[in-house]
Amino acid sequence: MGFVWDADLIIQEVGGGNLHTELASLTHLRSSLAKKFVLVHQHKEPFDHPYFRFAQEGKTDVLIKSRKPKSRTKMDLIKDTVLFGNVKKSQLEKIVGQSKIQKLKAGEIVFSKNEIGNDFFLVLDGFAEIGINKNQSVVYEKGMFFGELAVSTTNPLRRATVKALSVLTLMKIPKKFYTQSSLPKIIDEFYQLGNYFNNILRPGLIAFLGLGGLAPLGKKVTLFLLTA
Amino acid sequence: MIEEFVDLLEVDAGKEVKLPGFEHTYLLFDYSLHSIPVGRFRVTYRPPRGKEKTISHSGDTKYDEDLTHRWWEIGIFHENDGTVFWDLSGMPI
Repeated sequence: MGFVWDADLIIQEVGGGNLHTELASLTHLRSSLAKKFVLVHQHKEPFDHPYFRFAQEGKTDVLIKSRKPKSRTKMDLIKDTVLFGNVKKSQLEKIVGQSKIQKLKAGEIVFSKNEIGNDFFLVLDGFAEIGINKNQSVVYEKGMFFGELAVSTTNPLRRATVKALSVLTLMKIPKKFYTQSSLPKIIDEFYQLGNYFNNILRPGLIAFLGLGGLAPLGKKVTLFLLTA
Repeated sequence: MIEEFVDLLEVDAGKEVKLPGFEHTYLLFDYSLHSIPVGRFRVTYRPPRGKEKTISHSGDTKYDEDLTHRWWEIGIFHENDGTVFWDLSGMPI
């Protein structure tokens, strides 16, 4: 059991029947080791033990005190994101200076489909759900960005409704900075293709390009899109 | 929905892997003794400078050194079944 027991903090199940660890089989441990234990899954009422600690239902214990995090500037939050990987520091400071941090609770709407968009968004923390239709959605997480279609194409309308799936922190970046970000080349080409379809066919199609799926183009025509 | 929040990481028992998304943090998985397959793991923070820290967690586990010895002696475990148990010093028992 050295695998488990040379740790600084040991979470060990105890109790629950014959196929589980009984407390009696641990009591021979030296006190310095026993003090590292938090015993869980017990089937008997926990009691005060001179060395062992029991996890108790409904009770919260601090096992490891967290360090007070250093306050982070907006620059700290985005300097390592891929999106701005090739942007010079001076330019990045300018972008950050004119962007806003937006915090949402789970369930709140970032923007709705068909609204006019003047900003794009970088996820700094949490999860955002991009709803494509009633049955399809994608989840974006830290480091990913969205809302760029409305600010980078000739169609200024939002293509999808975006809502917070969790507590969500976003950087809301003005439209004018979109072209100054360092999107991967394949993404640029991908969107050029998307814009082509977007202009001549239907706005919703571009969303399907991101997922792969069936996009009905008319009464008798269905286009199957598959992305790698 | 829950799957969207979970990154599945396939690991080999006994092989330490760096935890994606963390710096200087490593995961080591192994199996525990129980009536059904269960696991145990340890997560180690190993900074370039400073003290290494480890948290370990065992799932459902039958840990009883004396009982395990008796089971071994009466042939419940076999040499070729790949099962290894360890004493407090980390030596196989």
